[in-house]
Amino acid sequence: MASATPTASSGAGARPAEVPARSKSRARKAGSRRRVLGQVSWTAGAWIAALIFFFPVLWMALTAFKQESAAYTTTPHLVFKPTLDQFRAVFDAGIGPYLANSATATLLSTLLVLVLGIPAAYALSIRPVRKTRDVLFFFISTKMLPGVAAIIPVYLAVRDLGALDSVWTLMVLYTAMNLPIAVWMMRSFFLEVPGEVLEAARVDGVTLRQEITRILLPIVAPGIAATALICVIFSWNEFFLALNLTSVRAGTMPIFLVGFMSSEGLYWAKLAAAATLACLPVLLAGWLAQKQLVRGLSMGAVK
Amino acid sequence: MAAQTTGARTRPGRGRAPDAPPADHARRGGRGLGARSAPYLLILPACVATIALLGYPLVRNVIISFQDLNAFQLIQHTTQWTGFSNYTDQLSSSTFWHTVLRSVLFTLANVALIMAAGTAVGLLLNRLGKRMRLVLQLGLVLAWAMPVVAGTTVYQWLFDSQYGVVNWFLAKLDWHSMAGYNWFGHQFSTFSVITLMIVWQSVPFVALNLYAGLTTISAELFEAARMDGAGAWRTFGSVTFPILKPFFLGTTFLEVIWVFKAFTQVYALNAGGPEGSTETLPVYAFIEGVGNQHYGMGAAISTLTIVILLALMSYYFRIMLKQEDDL
Repeated sequence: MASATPTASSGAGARPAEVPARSKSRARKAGSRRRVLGQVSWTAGAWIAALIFFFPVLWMALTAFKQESAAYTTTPHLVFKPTLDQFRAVFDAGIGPYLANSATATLLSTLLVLVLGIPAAYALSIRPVRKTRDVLFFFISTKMLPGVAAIIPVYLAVRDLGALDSVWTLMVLYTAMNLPIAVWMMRSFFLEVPGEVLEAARVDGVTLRQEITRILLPIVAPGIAATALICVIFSWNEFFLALNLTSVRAGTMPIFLVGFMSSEGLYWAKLAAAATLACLPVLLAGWLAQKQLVRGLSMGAVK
Repeated sequence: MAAQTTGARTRPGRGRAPDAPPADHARRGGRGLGARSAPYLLILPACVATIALLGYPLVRNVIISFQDLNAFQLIQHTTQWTGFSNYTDQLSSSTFWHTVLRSVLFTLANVALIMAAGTAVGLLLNRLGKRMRLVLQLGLVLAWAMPVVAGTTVYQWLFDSQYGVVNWFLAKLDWHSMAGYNWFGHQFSTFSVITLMIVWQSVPFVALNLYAGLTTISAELFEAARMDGAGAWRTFGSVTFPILKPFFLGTTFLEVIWVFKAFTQVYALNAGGPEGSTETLPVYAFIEGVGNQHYGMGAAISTLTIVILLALMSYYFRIMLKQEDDL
């Protein structure tokens, strides 16, 4: 946060430059001064907003590096001697299998979503079928289904199949959870492909498969990456299904965190370390792929 | 939307620009029967997967809601039909109706706050310089991507009565009665924390979307509005809002669904407490169904939850249909 002043001033300085400088009239000057003031207050507002959104994440990460005694103070400290003890304790508590389960369910389900979703998105955008709108509406209407309404039947079905407490079950269910939004998102990316490109390829007589793999996919790759990233985040964060369908073998990171909460509830610094580890992959993904994520989110229909 | 199939082929997008090319591709049809049925075959796997994995539970949930299914029947694998009794029990219970009212008010309050704050932050993003915008965007993305369970943990700690930063901060601001205040001991204060958390998690989606929408409005329009002497409010009311009306409708729609269904936030923060006073419909259905092992009753409550959500949305569907007709 040390860079506060330079950023703020550069942010404030960006716009007034656009104000026509030639005008010498007094009214104009007053106006531009008011606009500079306005820009400064926008920037101040931005800092406050940024602080509000960063703070919980920051506080969690900060606490993870504290000793318990430093975390439990009535006056919070920003300066302290950092330690890795808490992270060590979390790894000693056996986080490994949970991490592996989360990674397996997340990556495989995302892959499956792409395999099922890309053809559907293609058919709904490049070569629309009849009732395209009905199909799209069907996909989005699944968002109205609350998890609680599905959990009892899903639990019974999974039990009857003997697939309780299995990471494969989670993988299949996460695929179903993400598929509808993935189709919506990828379709909107596909719609942006210029028709002439495809037309030209067809004149050259490419097959359907070549059309998809050689021409379309390279163009829409960034969009697909954004979609995949969002699926990864949703699967990684999923809590409700994992809570009800796993016990000891197939628990994922959120389950580990909740279990940790009940067993180590009084050790906040340790809990913060566990929460930080649970967040780390998605926060890293969010940081590195911010641009793609923002773009993917803006295509709508995601949540 | 379902009724709007005529001409759906030429208008698959929600008013997006590239409407024409798809129709163009479709008309071509030069590759025989195989090519013509190909699109259907491509959609099929996704549709089948969705129907099997989401449609089946929905149907079976409705079936279970007509059964007396408790821990005993579950273990014995027996089926006991009870007709509508689960429904009549709920519809005649005051707890249920209180929960409905609470859920609806909770949803309305949250969505109103989310849309207001999200719009404010979205407009803010549009006014910022490049670097500051990136900083704020990163904060938004992190808040959005953080696992709900981790977020809940952090909020519990932030609002801890003794060691929480919030109480410390409020006491610093000379609000001494807040030192040691137990946020999770009362209905309203618990709801306040839940609301703050949900708004914090939801604003990024609205703000980033709005910002994306704002960048599509040409700067000349804003310039013209300013030349005409329109202030910030006037500009928003007569330029921004009308142009982005589909965005506002669509986003509000998604937020209503999302907040009404929100389970983890409410349940993990205080388990619907104190004494069930912050139970919303999904939490109530879960505690009654899974927690108390009255699965049939839980299924009935969750089915009613869907019905109520559909009723809330019906008004919206009407507006959205009209919107599409106007395009």
